[in-house]
Amino acid sequence: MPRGYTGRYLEVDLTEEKVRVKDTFELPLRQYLGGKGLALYILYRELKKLERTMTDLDHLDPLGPDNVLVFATGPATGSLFPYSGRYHVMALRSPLTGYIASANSGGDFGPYMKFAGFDMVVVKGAAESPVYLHIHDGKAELMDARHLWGMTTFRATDTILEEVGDGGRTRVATIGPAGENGVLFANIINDKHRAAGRTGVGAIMGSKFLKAIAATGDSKPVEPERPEEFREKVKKYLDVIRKNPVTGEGLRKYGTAILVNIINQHGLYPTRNFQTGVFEKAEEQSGEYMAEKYLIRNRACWGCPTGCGRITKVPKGPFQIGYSEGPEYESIWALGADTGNADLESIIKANHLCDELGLDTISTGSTIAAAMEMVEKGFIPEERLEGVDLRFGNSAAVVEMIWRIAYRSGFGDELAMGSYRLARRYGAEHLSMSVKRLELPAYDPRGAWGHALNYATANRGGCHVTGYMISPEILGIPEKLKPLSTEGKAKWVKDFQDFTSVVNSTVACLFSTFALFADAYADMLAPLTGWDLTPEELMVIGERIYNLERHMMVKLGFRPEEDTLPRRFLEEPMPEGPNKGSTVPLKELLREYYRVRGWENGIPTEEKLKELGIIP
Amino acid sequence: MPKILLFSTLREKLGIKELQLEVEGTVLDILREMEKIGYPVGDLVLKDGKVKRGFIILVNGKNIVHLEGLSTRVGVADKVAIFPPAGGG
Repeated sequence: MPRGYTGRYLEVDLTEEKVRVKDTFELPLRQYLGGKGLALYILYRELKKLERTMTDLDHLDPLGPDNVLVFATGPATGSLFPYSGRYHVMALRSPLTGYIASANSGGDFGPYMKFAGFDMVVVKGAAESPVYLHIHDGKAELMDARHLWGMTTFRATDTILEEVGDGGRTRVATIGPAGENGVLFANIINDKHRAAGRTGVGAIMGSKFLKAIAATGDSKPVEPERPEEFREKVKKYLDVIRKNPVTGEGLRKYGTAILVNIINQHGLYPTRNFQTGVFEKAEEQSGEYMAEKYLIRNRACWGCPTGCGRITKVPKGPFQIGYSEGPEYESIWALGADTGNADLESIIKANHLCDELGLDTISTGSTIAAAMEMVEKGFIPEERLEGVDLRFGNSAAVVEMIWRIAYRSGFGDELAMGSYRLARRYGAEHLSMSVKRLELPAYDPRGAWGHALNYATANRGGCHVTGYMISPEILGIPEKLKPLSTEGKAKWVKDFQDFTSVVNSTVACLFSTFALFADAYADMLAPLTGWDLTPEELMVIGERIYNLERHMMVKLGFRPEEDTLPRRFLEEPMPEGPNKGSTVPLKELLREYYRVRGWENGIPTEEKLKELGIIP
Repeated sequence: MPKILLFSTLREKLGIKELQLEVEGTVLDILREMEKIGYPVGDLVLKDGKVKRGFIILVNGKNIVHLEGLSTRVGVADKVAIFPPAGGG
């Protein structure tokens, strides 16, 4: 048996109120590793079962009992493998995108799932009234959560810790009011400030009446197969990480917000709903500015040698806050430049509220930004806004709308559907900056064409971390590529998407890849698991996972024309800055990408699926 | 006069955020001029006459790697931005 696994996973049927312990070693571990890959494999089995019982998978309601939700760790989670403090959440259908839901989070919760005795938790059905799941010592209990329903993520976490905390041995992942109220981009918050953010996984939990999962155990690193060799390799790569200027210095000092000035100076910092790529007040929301004015100290996730997390405070004023964590780059942008908001104090407050109420910061900010453009261009009548002056730059309106979205109050109820549905309702679909209904993150694709291709083809929708091409196109890691060029980009995007699938299945932090690549992963995973893994085999595993996800999307109704970008990026030239005049040559990029992938029109061929062992 | 912008750890190490120089020339000339007036940027940014791995130098928002490298011309109205290695997401 390979090491790195507890050997057990949990299947929870909320309808039947039953928990079953199952054998992890019966699963094809070497083919899918863990985390995202293994969760997908489990979901694929469930999808095939549903195909037999359901006349049409269109009937699979993402917020109904048939949806299946998986919390998954990987072989590295909770081991000495650097950056292994994460877990992945997957579900058959996202309420936001309609395809596979996928989100990843740091903090401590992932390792504590393992310390509690489980590699994964698979959640099916729906409870009749609110419950939470407590896992500990390889056992699991469903607990009454009626008293927790309605609580914010912070209060729910504190209350559960009081009930089952067991002297600091417990970590909690919970939803807030947004998840309970079915906001389509509600997230899951663990350790109070860490988010499994995207695709509405919090709404799925809410629909199942599952308020939280508490994991109790001792923080003891997982035993590797060849301990001495593993320790040596870990030591070697920790040295690489410490000497690397990004993982050893930049991220620790300034957090991810170090990117604000960099991306703005490169002219792709999306401003006012992506109307331009230069924000005139970027400096006032930069990592440098935050470090000078609001940073108390940095904070690391479990097993992290970098510590990009921020602990912040706003000492006075209308957005005063005594303790917060974050905001990180994406949240600063979404709640800042994207809404034309220059006031970092309001951004810190808005980010805090998103954590407290359980909202994805990217989709929240981007949906508000889309609404602002629709208001300014006359698509949304003023009377719909109930007195909120929803115009670019109004920081108080951004903070106000967060409450209204989470509680679906007034116009907030319409924003709770996300920017795509909102824009469609008002006849302005072109003003939703989303792909596959998921709001795009903090890089204008007109300034980096490989990143644009990744946006168009990312399985989970408008996502930057599926294949982070900003790394080579802007940051020059592992080598510098020309951003406004199509040359070689398809292969780069494929490789990044495949390798990221490996990272999310290991499970480790994507930021490790600023210093470590597939060879380092294979080098450490081999003595950990006992498998003679090579970098080449890992890349095939990544490709398998990526193709399985796309294959499942096809079953869920994926249409080739959905591999695209909002019209703005294809037809409206960037109006100013270094990328002035640029639009994305998507057709050319896509053609080459499908060729490199071995797909026809966005759909994996039978031959490709057989080659990867996905179908017999 | 060309405007020079410095970011993150370069601000700490050099003690300035931005400055305007009274010279034109190449990027290398600009770095040398900064040294002359007391900002030893070359020690931080260059190694063996080349830009250190990961450092980013932009002239008007374009990376000099894709222009003429350290020989890229900087005119009076140009903006030079210099960043230490960075990552995030």
